[in-house]
Amino acid sequence: MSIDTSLLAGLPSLKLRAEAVVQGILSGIHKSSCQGQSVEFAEHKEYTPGDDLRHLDWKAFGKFDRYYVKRFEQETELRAILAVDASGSMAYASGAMSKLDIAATLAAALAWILIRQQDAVGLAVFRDGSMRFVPPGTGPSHLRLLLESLDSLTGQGAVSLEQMASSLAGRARNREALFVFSDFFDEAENAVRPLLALHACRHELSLFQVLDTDEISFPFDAPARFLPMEAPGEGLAVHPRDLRDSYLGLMAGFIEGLRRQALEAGCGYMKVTSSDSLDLVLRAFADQRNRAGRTSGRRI
Amino acid sequence: MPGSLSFASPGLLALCACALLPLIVHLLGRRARRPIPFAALAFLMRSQARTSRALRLRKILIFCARTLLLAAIPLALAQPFLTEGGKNPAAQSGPTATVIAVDTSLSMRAVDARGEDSAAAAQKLALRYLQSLPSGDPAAVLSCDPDSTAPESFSFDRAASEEALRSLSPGWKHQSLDDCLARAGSLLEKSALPAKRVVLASDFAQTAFHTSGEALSAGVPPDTEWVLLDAALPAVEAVNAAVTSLAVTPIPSHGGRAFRFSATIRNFSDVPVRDGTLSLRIGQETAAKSFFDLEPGGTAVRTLTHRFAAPGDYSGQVSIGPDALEADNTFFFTLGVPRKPTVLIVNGSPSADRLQDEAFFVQAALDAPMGGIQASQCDSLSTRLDDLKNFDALFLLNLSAAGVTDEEAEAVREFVRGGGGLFLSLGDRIDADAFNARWGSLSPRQLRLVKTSVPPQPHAAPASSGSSGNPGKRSRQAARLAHIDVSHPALDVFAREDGEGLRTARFFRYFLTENVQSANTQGSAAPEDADSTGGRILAAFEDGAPAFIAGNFGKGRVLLFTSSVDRSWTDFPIRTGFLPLMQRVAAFLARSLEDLHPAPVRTGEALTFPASAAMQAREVILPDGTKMPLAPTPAASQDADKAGSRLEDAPMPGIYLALGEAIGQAVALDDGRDEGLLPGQQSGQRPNVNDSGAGAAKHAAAMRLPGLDAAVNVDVRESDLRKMPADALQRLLGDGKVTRLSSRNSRGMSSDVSGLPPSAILLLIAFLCFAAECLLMKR
Repeated sequence: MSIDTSLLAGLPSLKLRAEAVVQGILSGIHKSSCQGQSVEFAEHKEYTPGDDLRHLDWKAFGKFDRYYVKRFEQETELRAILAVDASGSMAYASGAMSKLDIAATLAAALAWILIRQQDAVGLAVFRDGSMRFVPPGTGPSHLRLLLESLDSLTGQGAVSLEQMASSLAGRARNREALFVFSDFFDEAENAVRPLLALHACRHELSLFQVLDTDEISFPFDAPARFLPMEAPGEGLAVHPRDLRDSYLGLMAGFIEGLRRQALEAGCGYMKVTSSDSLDLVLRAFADQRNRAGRTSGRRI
Repeated sequence: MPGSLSFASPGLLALCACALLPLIVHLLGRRARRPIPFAALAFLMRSQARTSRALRLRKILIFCARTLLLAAIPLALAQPFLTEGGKNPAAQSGPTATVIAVDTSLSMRAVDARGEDSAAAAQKLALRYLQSLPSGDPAAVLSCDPDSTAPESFSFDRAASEEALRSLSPGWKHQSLDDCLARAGSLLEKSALPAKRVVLASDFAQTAFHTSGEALSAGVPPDTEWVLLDAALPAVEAVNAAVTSLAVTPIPSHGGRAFRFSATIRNFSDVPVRDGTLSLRIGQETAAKSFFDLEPGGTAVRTLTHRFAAPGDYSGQVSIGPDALEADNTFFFTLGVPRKPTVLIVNGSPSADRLQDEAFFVQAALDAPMGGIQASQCDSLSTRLDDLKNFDALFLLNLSAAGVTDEEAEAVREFVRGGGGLFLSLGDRIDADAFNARWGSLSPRQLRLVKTSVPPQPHAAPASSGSSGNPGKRSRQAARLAHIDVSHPALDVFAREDGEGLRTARFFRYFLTENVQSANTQGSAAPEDADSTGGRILAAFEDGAPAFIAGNFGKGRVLLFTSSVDRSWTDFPIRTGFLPLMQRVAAFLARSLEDLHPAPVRTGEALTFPASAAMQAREVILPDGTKMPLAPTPAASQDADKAGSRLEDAPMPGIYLALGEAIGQAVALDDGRDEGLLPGQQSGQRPNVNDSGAGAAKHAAAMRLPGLDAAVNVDVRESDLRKMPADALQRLLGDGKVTRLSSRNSRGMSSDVSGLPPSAILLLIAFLCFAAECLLMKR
């Protein structure tokens, strides 16, 4: 069963919306994919020089007369920071929920899941050139704090991706999971690169590109004056028919370029549109991470 | 005089305000744009920056297309037309008597690149003008053809005037616009209205104006307004060359049936003609071709030769390739290819010694190669009396009258009366009295006595061989020919050397003849067919005594030679002039030298059909199949050869087929006679005179006479399509107000170069704008 944004929009608070999304997701995921010292046995591996001799299974040696090393699933404590772009462009809404509402709901649902699994979750909200940061924490009270912080968000001003990256880099410690919710619209060329650089600094970066369906299909047909949402200005008076082909080409190229850059950098990437079901988005994201976790050794 | 645009329905021009609609919609649209906050504005800005130039151009094009579309439709509905001189010429104060004169000359047949001739363009212009005339203006339609009937008065019946205009078609003749305007002026004099107008629809070819400095307006009432409807071809399309003349001459060295056709071609336009082709067509077949290049205004002569397979009457044409005026590209001709005459020689003094034989030299001369004469010989008339009708000419050489029976003499007389030729030569067997008694009525002159200038030696040939004692003296004493009429067809071959080939001959003995007066006073009972004029002296001796005398008897011809044709009385048979003279005499007597076809004339000229001994034309069939009667020509001469019939005005170019009567047996056609028929003609249409039997049977019923077919060609004055310059025309028209309308190409009327009416051009523009707008919007 999927929950679309029109249903979610009918729920009065972010908490209820997040809960609805979480209920739609299978619970109990977030195993670390990193083998290490833990109580849960994972598998045997034939000994090769260099393996830790402490993990030799002597019983197996006695039984098979061969050396086997025990491997264990390490259940680690995850530190995650949810970064939400609350710039003016995220306030665009063609339907019941704006892009910012969608981003906040996704972030809240993710925070809910993580805190339920005893992980520490922090929040960074970027708005009008500044960042409001909630350090990672655990427990229901911290979840409540996070939900309250997300519930009151309104889009305003401009946020540059470079500024976002530098702010996150200053706050995050080693091996933290960074979940960025934004439309990634930025005037600068290759603005997403500083963000992707965080992945190189041993952080696990996942990008949620939140877009409105209008931005993808450009359904306008009557002459209009398009106004900027991040800064005051005269905008552009144009007949949409004249620019549609060119705009759609540019937009498709932008989305594909971001996806390709993210994947090439080893980051997670999810495109979220206002017509998507958010539980399915998160489930798809979990599957994506699980597939990636077999090699990197960590799961949500 | 500046040109301007006028409109037949100017009220509809108000609809042109619709052209502002695109601008209004554009301005309103700018104000009514809905504001939309949009997150991905940066992408829109980038898109616009990328496509702004093309977008702006497309917007401008769409705007222009819509504006033009909305402006062109009402403009077209307003029916614009070009005028030179300002206002709509039909719009005047007060009723105006209007004469619409239409040029129907040959040059109006010139065709433009779209296949429309100038006559059609002129008709359209005139119709349009007539329709634009105020209903209160009386009008009359006048054809410039001088043979047409001018209207009696002016009429308000527009339908009748339109019908009169539509009935006009271009003719084949040259027309003078001076005369046309004079006729228009005469017509205007009949109108009591003070305002008068002459509308002239023409191509205004320079050659149509014959005035010598005098203003054309002299023939019309003062203050007459002029409206010139210009239907001339655009200058670039008025390319025209014509075959202006054709000379057909026989080539004796190629035999009697070879001819040289020398055509003169002229380029009447200002652009050169390259790789032109000249074709000679005989009937339906192309007999020869030649090529030519012509500079602007240049002339070229090209000669084609053709040898006809058989004698007969032919018609054909030389023609060049197509150009603006097709009618003058062809020059028609008719031609009679001479037959092979048949001659019967009656030898009055045969001899076993060929050199002493009376007929030896004549037979040899007629049998000479390239002579084209078929001669046979006998010693007595009695053996060939039944065959006489099979011969064209009879040669009686030194035939003693005593040896000729009455029956034989009557047969000869009948033969000559029916059109046969008779040659009489004399000699020692001729007794003057007996000759006069037997042949007196046939011979052009009576014989008197023999004159001896030098006594002939027995068994002659002394003069040339010089076997006598004093050949120099003998030669000086011999008579020579002194007066030679080289204009006569029988002697015209000696014209170039002024008879030198004849003058060297010496005559030792010859008969003197009676003069005409004394012969007539003798009161002998001459038959009515006899020639009472004494004949025509073709050559005479130094003492004035006739040597060759030509006369007529009935329909036939008689030629008397007063000396001998052997060497007993003269050395003429061994002189160079003897052979051609005998051949020409035989051909003359057999009438094979004559080409009875009328000389080619131009359209509008009189066409005269000569009457011969055998044929008399009464009617002609025109090239379009119309049959027209001929009028008899005035009897100006007693010479039967010169009487004939006449068509006063040849209306069109082509071959005119003669119909009439074939009389007698003078034109005895040989076996090849039918080969000369025109394609499509039946041999039964030819005058078969041989079936007349021994008598002079007359065929009263009209039948085809190919021998009298005639060729008529166009007047090349109409070939010059160059237009009279506007300023020169203005001078000719004097100080009167002149308005010029054009359908095609006139100077200064550039908006109409395509030849389409302006409304059609506007509708075409509207359609193109619509198509362009659809295309731009689709993109």
